[in-house]
Amino acid sequence: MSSPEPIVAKGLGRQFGDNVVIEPLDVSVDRGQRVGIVGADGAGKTTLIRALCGLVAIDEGSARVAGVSSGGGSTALRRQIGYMSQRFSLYLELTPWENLRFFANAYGLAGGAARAAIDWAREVTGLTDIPDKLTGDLSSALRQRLALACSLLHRPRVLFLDEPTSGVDPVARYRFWRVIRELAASGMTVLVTTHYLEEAAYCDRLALMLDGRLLAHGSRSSLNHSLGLEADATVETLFTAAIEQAGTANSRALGP
Amino acid sequence: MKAHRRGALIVKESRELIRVPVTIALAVIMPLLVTPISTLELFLAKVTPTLIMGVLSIFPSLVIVRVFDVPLQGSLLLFLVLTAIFLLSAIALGVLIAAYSRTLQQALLLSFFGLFPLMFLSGSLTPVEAMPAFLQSLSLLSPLRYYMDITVGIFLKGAGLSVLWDEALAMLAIGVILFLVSLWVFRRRVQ
Repeated sequence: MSSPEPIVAKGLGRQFGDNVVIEPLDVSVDRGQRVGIVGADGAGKTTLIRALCGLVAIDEGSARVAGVSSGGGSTALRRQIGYMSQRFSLYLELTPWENLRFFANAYGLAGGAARAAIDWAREVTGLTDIPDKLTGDLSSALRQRLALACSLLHRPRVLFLDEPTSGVDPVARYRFWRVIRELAASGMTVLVTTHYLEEAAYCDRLALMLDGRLLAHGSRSSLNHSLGLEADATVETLFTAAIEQAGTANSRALGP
Repeated sequence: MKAHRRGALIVKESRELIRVPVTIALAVIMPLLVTPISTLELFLAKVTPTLIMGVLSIFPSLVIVRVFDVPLQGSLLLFLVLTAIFLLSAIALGVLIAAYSRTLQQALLLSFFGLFPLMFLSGSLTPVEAMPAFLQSLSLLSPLRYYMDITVGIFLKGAGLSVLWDEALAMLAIGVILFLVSLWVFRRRVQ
């Protein structure tokens, strides 16, 4: 029996009061894909990723991640996913080792299993030398790798990364994406939000968002083709064309 | 026990009202929300250490009580058990305040709205019998009223559970209700 699609959302929508943060959208992601959700601040990227993780309730439609419903944020869902946010992923007043051990225990790993998981996560993320100081005193790049290692300990089927490279230097960002590529190659599905358009080049598929709307999604080549762009058009050109097309469609809908 | 000593004890115990909000910070909870830890486990993990520390913090007070030659006529164990039941209410109120506060300052200010009515209605500053009928009825909702009766009963009269069972039961009922409400609110706020 084949395993269910890692991420399937149908008509997923969310609003806070009168403010529509995500207009109903459909998303489907295959196993081992790296999907980049690209958009400016306030586009709804973080809300979308949190809705899929079960951290934010879904108002409309439905979503399933690794075969489990995202609604309600069940324990079964949390066992299947990893989540890393640049802002809230680590305890800064603990040492890196304490963070790793704490999250291993939180995912139900103890003793030898916890040690093996920590060793594996350190190896995957390149965390060979861990300084013996508080996590809050680490560099942004090291903290980022540590957060990624913590989110990988239970070997999730789907990994959600919310703005993982914010405030990190270009070299560290390049290394980070290399790790992501290796994880995806091993079969892990990765969903990343970013506002660095150049980083979208590292993704297999893109979801372009603006003001809570999903403007377009698909592989970069298919998006370039559908928007009538050159095959080697940059992500910035692609994003701008998608915005212009959406604006034209809106103008037509509104009339003269 | 003199009124000012009772007042000091009340203030000490009521610090539980503001201790929990400090720990329920978003940055503490957020990383745990994506782990398989359930909201109930999270809630209990937050509340249990506070309850244990609350009971342990009684012991320094007992030293002070000894210094002032206040007799302990009744059972210390019974006093500790009933203190733990009282702390259920105090911690539950703390969780409720924390759940609706965005900052520590807000939680501190809000805690005064809970702390002072509880203190004034407990009968520690003004005897309940001297209050207007309406406030006397309202004082029945204050867990501190029962805790004061229990404290005085155990320390000065050597009363046991056979005498204090109605106060203990009322305090337990208020504690359980507040605890369940705070758990419900906590769950809602977290989700």
